[in-house]
Amino acid sequence: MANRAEQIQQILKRLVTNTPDVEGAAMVSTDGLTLASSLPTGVDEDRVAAMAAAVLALGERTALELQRGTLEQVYVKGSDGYVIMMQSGPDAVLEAIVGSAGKLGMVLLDMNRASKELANLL
Amino acid sequence: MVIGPSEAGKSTLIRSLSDRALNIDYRGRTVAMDHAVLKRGDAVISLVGVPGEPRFEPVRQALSQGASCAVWVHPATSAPDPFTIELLRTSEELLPYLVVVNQRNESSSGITFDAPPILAPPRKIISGNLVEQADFTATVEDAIWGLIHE
Repeated sequence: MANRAEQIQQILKRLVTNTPDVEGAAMVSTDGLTLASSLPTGVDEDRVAAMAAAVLALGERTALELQRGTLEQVYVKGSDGYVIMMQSGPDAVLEAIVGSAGKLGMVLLDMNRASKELANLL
Repeated sequence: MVIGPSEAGKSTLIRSLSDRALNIDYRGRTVAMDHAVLKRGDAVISLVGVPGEPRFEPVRQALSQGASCAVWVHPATSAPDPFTIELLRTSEELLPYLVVVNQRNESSSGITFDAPPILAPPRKIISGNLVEQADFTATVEDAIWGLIHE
């Protein structure tokens, strides 16, 4: 049986392969360390990890401050696509990058599923 | 902005300066930012604390945009932190800064801050214990207003 890191990697890879609009994914600890990633080459995963943790923490506090309850996801849209981050258990963040033509409903569905599987591994 | 290595006392300082301070942390470690507003008459200072862990460099860079001066919280027991030096060095214009040496234990009293030669010297260096010396917070606050009014 594959060890935990390999299992995490497999789930990320499956998310990137099976959801056509997802161009990359990473699993990051809530304090900003990379746990596993399947990101396009040239992306600095350590920088991405630190930023994801900071953005998620800010999103969490913003949701609370504006009485939107517990944070479920943070969504960033740029001219060339999206970055979606969601909590995966209390100690990790699942992050996916999606092309600008991506179908977000499908992406979120697959991310939710992956995030639950990943949370169970931690 | 409030800068300095992790565990120096940046969040402690910001919390002690305002009872409405915001700290965005994960289990006591700042992962995003701290924030507090200081007011005197019509003047307002927005204090932004950066995360000190080396890996949060991109977050520090993002938060430091537009800062007008810096408060460097320095733990009295170590040499100036290279990541903080780098942050000051790469700010668009070299920011005026003051150094708060946080003397958390007796053995650290008397140790001062040696300004790195690559930077302009700090406007001021003040030393004290942020946790145990209640009047030290007021001293730091006065020094911050002094730096802004320069």
